Amino acid sequence: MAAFAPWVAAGIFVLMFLLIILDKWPHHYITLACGAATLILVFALCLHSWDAIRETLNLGAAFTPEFWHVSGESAEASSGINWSTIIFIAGMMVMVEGMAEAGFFQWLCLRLAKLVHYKASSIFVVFMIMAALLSMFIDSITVILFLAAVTVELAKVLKFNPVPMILAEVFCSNLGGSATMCGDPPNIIIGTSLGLTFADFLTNTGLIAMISLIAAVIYFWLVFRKEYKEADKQEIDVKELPVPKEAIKNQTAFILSVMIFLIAIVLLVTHSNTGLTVAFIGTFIGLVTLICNYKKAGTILKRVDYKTLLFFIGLFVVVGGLEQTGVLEQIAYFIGDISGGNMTLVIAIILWISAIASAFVDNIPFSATMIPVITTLASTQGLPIRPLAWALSIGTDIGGSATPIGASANVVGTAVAMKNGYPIGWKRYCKSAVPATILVLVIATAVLILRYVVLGG
Amino acid sequence: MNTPSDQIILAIDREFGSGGREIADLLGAHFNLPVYEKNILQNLGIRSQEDVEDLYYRDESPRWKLASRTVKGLTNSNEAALAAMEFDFLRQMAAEGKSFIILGHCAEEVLSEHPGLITLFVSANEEFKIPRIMKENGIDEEQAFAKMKRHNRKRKIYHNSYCEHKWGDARNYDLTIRSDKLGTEGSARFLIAYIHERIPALQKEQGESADSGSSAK
Repeated sequence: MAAFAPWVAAGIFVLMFLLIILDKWPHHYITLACGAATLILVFALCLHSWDAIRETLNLGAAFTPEFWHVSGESAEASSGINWSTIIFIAGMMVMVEGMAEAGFFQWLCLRLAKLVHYKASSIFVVFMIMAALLSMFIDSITVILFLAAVTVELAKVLKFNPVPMILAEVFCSNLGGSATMCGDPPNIIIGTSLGLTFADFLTNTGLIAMISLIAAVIYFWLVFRKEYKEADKQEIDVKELPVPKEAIKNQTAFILSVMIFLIAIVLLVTHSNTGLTVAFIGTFIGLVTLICNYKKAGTILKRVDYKTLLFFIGLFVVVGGLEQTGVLEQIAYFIGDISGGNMTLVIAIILWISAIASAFVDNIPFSATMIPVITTLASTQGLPIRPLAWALSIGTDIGGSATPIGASANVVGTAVAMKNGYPIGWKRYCKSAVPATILVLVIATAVLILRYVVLGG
Repeated sequence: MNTPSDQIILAIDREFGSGGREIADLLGAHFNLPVYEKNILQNLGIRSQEDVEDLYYRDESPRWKLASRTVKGLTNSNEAALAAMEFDFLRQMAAEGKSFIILGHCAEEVLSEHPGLITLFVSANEEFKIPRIMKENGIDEEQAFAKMKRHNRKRKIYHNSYCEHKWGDARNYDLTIRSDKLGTEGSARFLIAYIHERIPALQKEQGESADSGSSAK
């Protein structure tokens, strides 16, 4: 029976991906059902291995001191459920819900628009940069949900077409997410699995994201400048403009939410020095948000996206099945064979394959699957793991920008636009997003090769 | 629900080429009701006329699953978003007490709770549908057959992806009619008589609904 285990695990994984793509049932049902199938069919029936089940469920992890505080570099057990990721994301979800409840995002968008005197062309540039900066610390779904809504609101008064602005915001949001360990779910999974720090991400993917952001702002400006230059000439009725202060629903909650956000940033930036793990930071920030908003704690907790957390749990079990049965090792050997252990080729293959795959399938399962692949590839080919991790991170984060289904922010941005009477189809979306994605991927490939192959890291 | 007791909503679903639109127009002229089909797109607040025209072919189309994703209840599928906007528009019209005729758009299920609703399904045999499609579109028999199959398949998948009941299933409609038996005009006359017969009962039902609504308040 053990000989069938890799085939059964691979079959469950493929089935899970197909069901996610078909979108017939909620995604967390699919991953949980496939996770249960992995535990029963692969581990219990084929492998008869209680150890594999224990390792994959990884339940003991949270009860070890290293889970909350480490003195050196520490990696989450790469096999099975990555509880650090789940707890950190849950904590950040609570914080973001607290900020949204206080009106922080709307206030920030409107305040910046006011600062540039409601000039459409300036708002276009400022909102792109803001999308990138906010997405470095907050999930891109929330950033785009608010930013796109404010863009539409301003577009009605300032009489400009919000579609190009939303497209640029979505792209820059994905780009900003790639800059930090907590910006995009693949990064937090990669970071916790490989023991990388916030500073590691900032000095590697962050550097690439910063160079790319400059290129992306110039690119979108060149493509769409005409629309906004014309809008600048229009007369504006100042009375119709939304007032930033009115976005703040509760002054005290607003100040507290800003402070919690700043504390979260400080804790994340310094976590390699303090030794606090992302699981600790997530738990701490979540609890502080709930305590500060104790009157609305119930509402905030209800709004937390539990479905995403359950989706992660099921996903990690399915990927654990592939790992325990050696399927991912075979993929690593295959990549090793075709690249011949050449670092340039390995970086290019991982980055571009991740990008192309992420343009069409969910980048979270993809990155979770690829982590054991790059780990094996690094150990068998004698390559440093870090450049491979950056290639995977940038590939999965940026590749998703190319199509309307590649990343959650793209879906949210196009949906908000359509709800307000501005449909964005595949053609319209890809026309500006595909060249921008290729531009950033070329920059990322060049930076990684220059830094890790030519200059030797 | 605050609806006048003389409100009538006719939800007519139809096979492609069966003359459903023509029958709806005749009923609309008789009862003095506006008829909504593709023109529903003009009422959804879509900003640009160019976009409205682009969306014409996405109207009453199923979501292409491979090309769309849903995140937190939001979807990038213009077809699905359009359907949701259209359903909201229909519900709003019904809640405002307006009388109207709506072709397709899952109206028999979207408005199923509404007391002023009459649901109809119009079908016909191919001998009736094909010549009509050929004449209307200026195409040959083979093309007309392919067009009919394509459109009916699209309507069926669209309907069944949003509704609990199956498209064209007689159990889901108050009345199903074969337009080839009486022709479009004859079918319309028959339906006018049927609707007149239904009106007193509909008015009574709406009155009771309004009474229970006000007593609940």
